[in-house]
Amino acid sequence: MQLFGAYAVLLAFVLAVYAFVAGVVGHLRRRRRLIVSAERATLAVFPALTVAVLCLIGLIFRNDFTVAYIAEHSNRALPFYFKIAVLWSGQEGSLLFWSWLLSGYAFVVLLGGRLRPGRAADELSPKHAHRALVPLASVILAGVEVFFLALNNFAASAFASLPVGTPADGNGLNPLLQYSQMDIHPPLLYLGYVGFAVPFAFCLAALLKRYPGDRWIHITRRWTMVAWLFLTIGIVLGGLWAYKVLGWGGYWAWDPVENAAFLPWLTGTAFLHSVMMQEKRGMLKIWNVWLVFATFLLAIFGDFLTRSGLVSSVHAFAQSSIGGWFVIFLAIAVAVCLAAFFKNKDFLKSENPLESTASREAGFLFNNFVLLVAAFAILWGTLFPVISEWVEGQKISVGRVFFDRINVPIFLFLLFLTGVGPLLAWRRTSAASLKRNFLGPAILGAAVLALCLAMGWRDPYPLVCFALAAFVLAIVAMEFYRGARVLSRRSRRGLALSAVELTMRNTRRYGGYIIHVGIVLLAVGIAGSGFNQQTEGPMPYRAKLAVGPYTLTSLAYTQDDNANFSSEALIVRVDQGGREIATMYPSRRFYKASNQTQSMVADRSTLLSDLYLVYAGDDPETNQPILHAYWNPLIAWIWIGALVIGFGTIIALLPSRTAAARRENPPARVAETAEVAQV
Amino acid sequence: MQVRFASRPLRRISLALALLGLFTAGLRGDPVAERYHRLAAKLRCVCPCHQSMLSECSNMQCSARAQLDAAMVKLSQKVRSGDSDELILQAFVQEFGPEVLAAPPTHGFSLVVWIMPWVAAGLGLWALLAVLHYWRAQRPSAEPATAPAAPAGDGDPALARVQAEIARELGDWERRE
Repeated sequence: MQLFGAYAVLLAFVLAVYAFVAGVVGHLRRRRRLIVSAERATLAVFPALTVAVLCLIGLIFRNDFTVAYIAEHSNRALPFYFKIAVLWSGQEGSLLFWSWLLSGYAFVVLLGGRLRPGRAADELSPKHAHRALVPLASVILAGVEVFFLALNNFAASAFASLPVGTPADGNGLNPLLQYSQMDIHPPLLYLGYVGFAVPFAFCLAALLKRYPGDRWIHITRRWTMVAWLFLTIGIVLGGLWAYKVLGWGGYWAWDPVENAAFLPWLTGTAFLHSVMMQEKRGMLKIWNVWLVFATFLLAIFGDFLTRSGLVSSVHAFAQSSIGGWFVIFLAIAVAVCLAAFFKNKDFLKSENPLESTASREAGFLFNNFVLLVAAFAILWGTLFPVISEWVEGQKISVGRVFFDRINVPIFLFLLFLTGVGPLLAWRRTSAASLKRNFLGPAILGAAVLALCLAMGWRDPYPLVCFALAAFVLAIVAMEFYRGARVLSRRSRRGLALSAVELTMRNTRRYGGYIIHVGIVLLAVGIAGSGFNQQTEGPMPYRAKLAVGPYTLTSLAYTQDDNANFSSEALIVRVDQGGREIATMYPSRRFYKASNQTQSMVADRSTLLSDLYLVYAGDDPETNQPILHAYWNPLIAWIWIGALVIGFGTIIALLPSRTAAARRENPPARVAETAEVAQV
Repeated sequence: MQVRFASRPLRRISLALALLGLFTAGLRGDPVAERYHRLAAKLRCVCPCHQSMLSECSNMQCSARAQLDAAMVKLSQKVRSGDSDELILQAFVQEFGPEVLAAPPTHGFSLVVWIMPWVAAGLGLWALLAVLHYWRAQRPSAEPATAPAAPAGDGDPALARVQAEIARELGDWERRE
């Protein structure tokens, strides 16, 4: 099975190389048969890699420790539901998983959009007009596959054997990864990272082919949304994992690997906003193309940061030599982007100028500006230790203090724009309209601010955040209410049903509003950290510790043992206002295979706050357990906000009923088909 | 198998007790405890976890934390003995390198890290305003500025009617579509 898997990866590499070379030659010499042959090869990469991935999973479940990767990352006692996580827990396996996801995306793109043999692009309906781009986009995807499959075959093979002997048992999975979130978080994060290759491929293909019309931007936007959705959920799940597992009471530490995932998210978010200017007004074409390029390049750069050991991170893979491969690939990718841009930049001229700074267009420009400044600040802070080492010979650390100080004001301004943007009209907004639309929400925001001040809260950032949250929520609610009220009058249905009808008639707009609500909830959850409290102390029998509104009392101490780990737990009674409300069990595990100890957090989460307990070990002299206790207000809203963002994105991805109606418009079809025929 | 969870050596426990004493004192508003916390918040673990010295290290292979914990016990002593903040932080930098500081200093080469984001923001804003100015200069004057840019309702007659009705109530709502 080991050999079979290795050959499957090699076959995938050969297929990808063929697909890329044949595709390039086919497009340059306009040889249709060669292009079709390249597409088939690209399609075949996915089954080949599926076989390889299944082989690796089979070897993991068979505890085949002749394979170095499995000996390093798995062991016999590992529960089956964590064995699947072994696939992405190490450098080699996760690279194979990455390649498999990439080939899966290429497979879906080709299967969903491939021209049938013998059918020409000019026979396409407008709905399928973007399919004219699929052949070239698939060649670009094959080019990306070549790079990752080269790594899989020649730099980091998941099927390599141990140099000598076979151990009786493996080293086991890193205890930090033995959590249910680890079965979901990395695949979603990778689906996001890898997914940005698809909009990149379509965008580059459109630029190279000088594809007329706006169809290419529609398909690019949809694929960006898919990748953005996965990346968003993946990032938040990573935060949830850090919160539940790492035991420091937080969820985001501005770690280089966390930042690496956040960077393409920021540029992808900027693109999802600015693309509307291109669709509605034919503006910012160059900007959009570069945002798509930057998002893809930052995704690859993030992978490079995680895998190369360039920056130190608790989340990074072990230092390896594959960094050089990434540098070469990034250099080639940048060169291709630059060449394609300079050769075809006349194709990207704006169709309309900006008419007023009080307009939706200007709002999007400011939104993009703020997102890009945040992205630059994060990239700069992430790389500064490396830069300072080059310049001064010593690493200057850049941690949470820097990132919080720089980014909090930026993101508060972004939150303000989240509310303002949708209320601005295209082209120009009158002062009367601004006053009418903003007065109510602004008064509500000011009232919330006054209320917070009256409650004695003085930390400026949470106060401003709560006020802006009220402002944005009021604006979104107003938008839904106005539309639903008019629909309700016409259809004589209730407001709720009318709001649903309104949303389904323009999924993109109202799905976007739902995403904004999710962002607001997430911001409120983050602002809650301004009120965090923490304490720690020894907890012998009946000892008490107070944190937030809670009093903790140590009741007992218990031990357990199984094949994978032995554990010790504190039993802690939680009282609030003199009344017992819960019993919690913070514990520590000793993982036998890896000889590592891990704190198991006990978390009692409510909508208002979390009580978060960490058993930090025993005093060796007195045998008294030490307990860290954290009171984290509003943190649950971060996870709820992420769910709302996911829901909103799915709504926005659904076709609007209006879009279906527009597709039935025959004159547009004829016009666009004529344009496609020229490609 | 009996496994003891004596997590760190004696120093670790000494640190916990020192912290406990300082926390307790902190509840009473002890300026020494407040100063200890203020200084500890300026320090962080030098292993890849990069956690604040007031938090638990999340890196199970951390090799530096024991030394740092010992240094933190010394920190509590130095705070009590009245050494200046700068002197105390400098002692940490000399022992563990500049990575031990939670935030880069605001002098020397480190100042660049603080300045650059705002320089970039300033340049970006300047570029943005220049583009806005250029576009406004190119604006065709003959075209009526109030004409809708995109068809209201995205081609859906029912939605267009809804938007028209809202527009009558609210002025220019339909142009936001």
